[in-house]
Amino acid sequence: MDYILEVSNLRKEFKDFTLNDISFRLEPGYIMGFIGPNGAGKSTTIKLIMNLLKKNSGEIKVFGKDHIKYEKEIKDRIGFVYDENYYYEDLTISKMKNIVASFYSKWDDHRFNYYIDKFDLNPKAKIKTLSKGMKMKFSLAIALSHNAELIIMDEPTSGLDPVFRREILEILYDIIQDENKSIFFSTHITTDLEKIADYITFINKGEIVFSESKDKVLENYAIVKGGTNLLNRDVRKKFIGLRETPVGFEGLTNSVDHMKKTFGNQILIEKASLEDIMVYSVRG
Amino acid sequence: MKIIVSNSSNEPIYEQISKQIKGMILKGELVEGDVLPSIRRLAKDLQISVITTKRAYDELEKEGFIETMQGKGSYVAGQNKELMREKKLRIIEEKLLEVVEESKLLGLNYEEIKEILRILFKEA
Amino acid sequence: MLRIINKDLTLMFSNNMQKIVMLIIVPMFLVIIEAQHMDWLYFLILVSTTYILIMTPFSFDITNKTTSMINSFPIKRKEIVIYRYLSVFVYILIAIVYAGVYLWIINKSGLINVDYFNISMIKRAIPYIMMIVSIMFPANFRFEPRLAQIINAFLYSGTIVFAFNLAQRSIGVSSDIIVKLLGSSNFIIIAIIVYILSMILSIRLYEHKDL
Repeated sequence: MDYILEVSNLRKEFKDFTLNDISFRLEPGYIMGFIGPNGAGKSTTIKLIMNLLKKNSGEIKVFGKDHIKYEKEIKDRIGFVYDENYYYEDLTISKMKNIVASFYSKWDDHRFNYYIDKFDLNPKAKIKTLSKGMKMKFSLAIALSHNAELIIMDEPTSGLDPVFRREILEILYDIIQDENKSIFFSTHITTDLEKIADYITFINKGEIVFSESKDKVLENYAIVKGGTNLLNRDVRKKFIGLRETPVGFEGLTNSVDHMKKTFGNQILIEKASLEDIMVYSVRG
Repeated sequence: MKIIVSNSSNEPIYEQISKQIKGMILKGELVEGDVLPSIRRLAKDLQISVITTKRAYDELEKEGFIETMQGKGSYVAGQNKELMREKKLRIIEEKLLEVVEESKLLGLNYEEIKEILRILFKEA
Repeated sequence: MLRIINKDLTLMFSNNMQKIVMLIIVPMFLVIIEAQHMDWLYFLILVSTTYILIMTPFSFDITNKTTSMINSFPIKRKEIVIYRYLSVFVYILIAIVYAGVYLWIINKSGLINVDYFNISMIKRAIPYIMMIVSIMFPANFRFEPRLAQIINAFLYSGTIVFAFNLAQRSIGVSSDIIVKLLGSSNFIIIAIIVYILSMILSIRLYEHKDL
C-alpha cells in the first residue's frame, strides 16, 4: 500500500464553519503531527476520517481502501485515542475492556495486561474513579492492544502535565519501532511533536497551510530579528508574521536566504519552532 | 558508540549525525562490518524523528561509508583501503611524533626508544 | 451482534438504577390498578418492563457520551440499528420471564391474586410494543437526545393512559372493538410490516446522521 492514510479534497460544511479542500497523505511507518490552533478543524477532520461526521465531498482512503465502503475492516485496524474519552462510568476497567475486546478480531489480552501494568492501572477500578490522565492511558492501552496499524490520536495530551506528556512520547517511540505502524497525532501543543514527528500538517481556519516533512519545514522557516529601520513595504511582504516593538522587530519568514543576502549582519536569524510557525501564521 | 546531537546548533541534526559517524569510521572507532543501530532505534535514543535518522544514513550510504541491507540493518562498509591506510598511517605518525618529543624532553636517545619498541612488539 | 448484547447485558447488570426501577414497577402498578383488571395489569407490566429494558441502553450511551466510542469500533451503523430492532424481542422474552416470576411470587404469597402468565395479553402486548418501538426508534436515531427522550416519555405515558382506558372498556363490553383489534392476527401482520419499514427508515436516518 502506498499510503496508510490519504485524504483528498475533503470538504465539510457547518453553519458557521467550513472545512475546505483538505488534502494530505501519510506513508506507513511514520508519525504525522496535525497541528493548528483551537477551532481550526483538527477534530472535525479526524471525525470525518472515522466517519463520525458525514463529509460533503472528497475522498478518504485508509490502508488504500475507501473509508466508508470498507469501514469495518479499516476500523478493525485502527486504534483511536480522543481528547475526551468517554466510557461507561459504572464499569470496571476489566469489564469495559471485555466489551471493547469483543469488537476487535485481533484483540491481544497479553498486550493489554502489559500496558495496564506498565501504566499502573488497577483492572478492578471503576472508570468513574479514574483521573483524566489515567483515562487517557486506558484509552492508549486499548488502542495498542488489538494489533492496530494506524493509531489516530485527537489532542490526547491536552490537559495533562508535561511529565505525563513526556511519558506518552516515550510510548510513541516504542510503538514506532515497528515499521508497520503509523501514528496520526493532532495537537495544539506543538512541543510534543517537535522531536518525534516525521511529517507536519498544519491546518488553520479549515484549510491546510502546509503538509510537509518536519525537517523541511524547520529548514524553510526562520525567525528574523532586527531594527525597525530595516522594514519597508517590500520587506514586510517577505514575512508571514511580524511583531514590531519600539526596540525592534521579530518575524517569521520562509525566505531565509533572501533575508541573509539582503541584510547580512544587520539581522539575527534564529531557528523557528513549530510553535513560532503556528503562532505567526495564525496571528500575522 | 557515541552520538550527541544539539538542538540549539544551527547545523541540521541529520548532518550532525552523519558527521559524527563519519568521524568514528575515519578514526577507526567503527570498522568494516560493525552494525549501526537501526534508524528507528537511533531515533528513539536521540529523541528525534525517524525521517531525520533515515536522512543521515542515506547520506552516509551515498558517500559510501555505510551499507544498508533490507531486513538486516545498516553496517559500516569496507572503506577504500588505500585511503584508510593513509589516514591510519598519518595517525601513527602523529603519535610517534609525540613519543619522540617526550623522549627528547626526558633525554632518551633513538637506541633506547628502539629497545622499548622491540619489547612492546614482542609482548603485544 | 452478540457483542452488543454482551455490552448491554453487562451494563444492565452493573447499573443499580435500572434494577431499582424494574423492581418498583410491579408493586407500583399493583397499587394503581383495580382488582378486576388483572389482565390489563399484566399487559402494562409487560410493556413497561420491556420499555425499560429497551431504553436503558440508549440512555447509557447518552449519559456516558459513549456514542463516538461505539461508532469508532469496527461496526456499521446499519448493524447497530438492526441489532436494536432485533433485541426488542429478546427483551420481550426477558420481560415475560421477569414478570412471570415476580407475579408468581406475589401470587404465592397470597396477598393479591394476579395474572402471572396470560397468553392472550402477550399476544396483544407484542404487536403493541412493536408499534410503539416503530415510532420511538426512528426518533431516537434521528433526533438529539433531549428531544428523543421527550418523545419517549410522551409515548410511554400515552401507553399507560391507553391501557387504563382499555381496562375500563373491557369490563362493560367484553368484546370491545379496539380490544379485539389488538388481538387480531391482522394487527400482528400490520405490526410486522410497520416494524420492518421503521427499521429501514432508522437505518437511513442513522447512516446520515452527524454524531
